[in-house]
Amino acid sequence: MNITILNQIFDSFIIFKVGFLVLCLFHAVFLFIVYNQVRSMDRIVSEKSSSAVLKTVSLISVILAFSLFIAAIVIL
Amino acid sequence: MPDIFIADHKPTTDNEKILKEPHSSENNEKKHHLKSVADRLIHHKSSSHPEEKIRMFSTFYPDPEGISFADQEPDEKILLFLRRHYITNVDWILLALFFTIIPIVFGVINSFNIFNFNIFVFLNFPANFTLLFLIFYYSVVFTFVLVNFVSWFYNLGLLTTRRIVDIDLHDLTYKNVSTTGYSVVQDASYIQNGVIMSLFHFGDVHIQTAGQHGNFELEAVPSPERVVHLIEDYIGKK
Repeated sequence: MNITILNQIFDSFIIFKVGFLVLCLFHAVFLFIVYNQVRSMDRIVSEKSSSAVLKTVSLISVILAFSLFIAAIVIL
Repeated sequence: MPDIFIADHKPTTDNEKILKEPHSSENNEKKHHLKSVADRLIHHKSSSHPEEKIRMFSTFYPDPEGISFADQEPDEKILLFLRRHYITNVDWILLALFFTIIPIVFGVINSFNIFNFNIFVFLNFPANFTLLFLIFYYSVVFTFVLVNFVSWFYNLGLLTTRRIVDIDLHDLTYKNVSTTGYSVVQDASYIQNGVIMSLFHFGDVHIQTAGQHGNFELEAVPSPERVVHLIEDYIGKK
C-alpha cells in the first residue's frame, strides 16, 4: 500500500507537472519584473512612441505568461 | 505683377535668437560656436535622417525630437542621441534564432520517422502537456529576446547643450544613470579596437572628467569621431 502511494507521489508525470508549474510561475514573475523595469526606465528617459510600444509588449507578455500558468494548472 | 510674399521667420529658441542678434561680443562668440556645431549636425542629419522623428531602432541621431529625460531643464536641448551599434546585438539574435528553429528541426526529423523517438510519448505524458511545453518554450525564447532588446534600448547616451547623460541598464538588474557638465570634462577620446569596430564604424568614447567625477564611457557608439568632436566643441563651457 505504502509502496503504491510512494510510486504515485514520485511518478515522473507528477514531478514534471509540479516542476513545470513552478517554472511557469517563475517565468511569469520574471516578466512582471521586466515590465516594472521598463516602466521605471520610461520615467528616466522617454521616447514618445517607442516607449509606449515597449511597455505594451512587456505588459502583453506578462498577461500571456500568467495565462499560461493558469492554463497549466487547469489542464495538467 | 504682385511680389511674392515671404513671411518673417520669428526666432523660436534661444539659440536662434543668439544667431539672429549680431550685437555683443559674447553673442558673436556664441553665434560662431553654435553655427559650427549646428552645421555639422545639420550636415549629418540631412545626409542620413532627412526631417524624421527619432525611430525605435535609431542608434545615432543628431538633434532628436520626441525624446526627453528626467531632470531635463526647460531650455536644455538634446544635441545628439546615441545607442550601441546594431551589430552588438547579433550574438543574442543568432542565439534566439537557433533556439527558435530547434523544435522545428526536431518536428521535421520526427515527421520522417528517422529516430522514431518522442520524449513525451516515452515518459507517457498526455498530448496537451506537449503543447503547453512548446508554448512555454517559445515564451521563454521570447523573454530572452525581450530582455536583451530592453537592455539595448535603454543603454544610451545623450549629449545636451548643458551636459552628457549616460544611461546604462544591464540584464535588468544593474541600472546606472550618470551625468556630467561640460565644465568638468577634460578630454574626450575614442577607441576602435578590432576588425568588427573598424568595418562597421563604431567605437567606445572615453570622456575624462576632472576631480572626483568618475570617467564616462559611451560603449560601441556609431561614428565615435563625430561624438568626440561635438564634445570637444563644448568642453569647458558651463
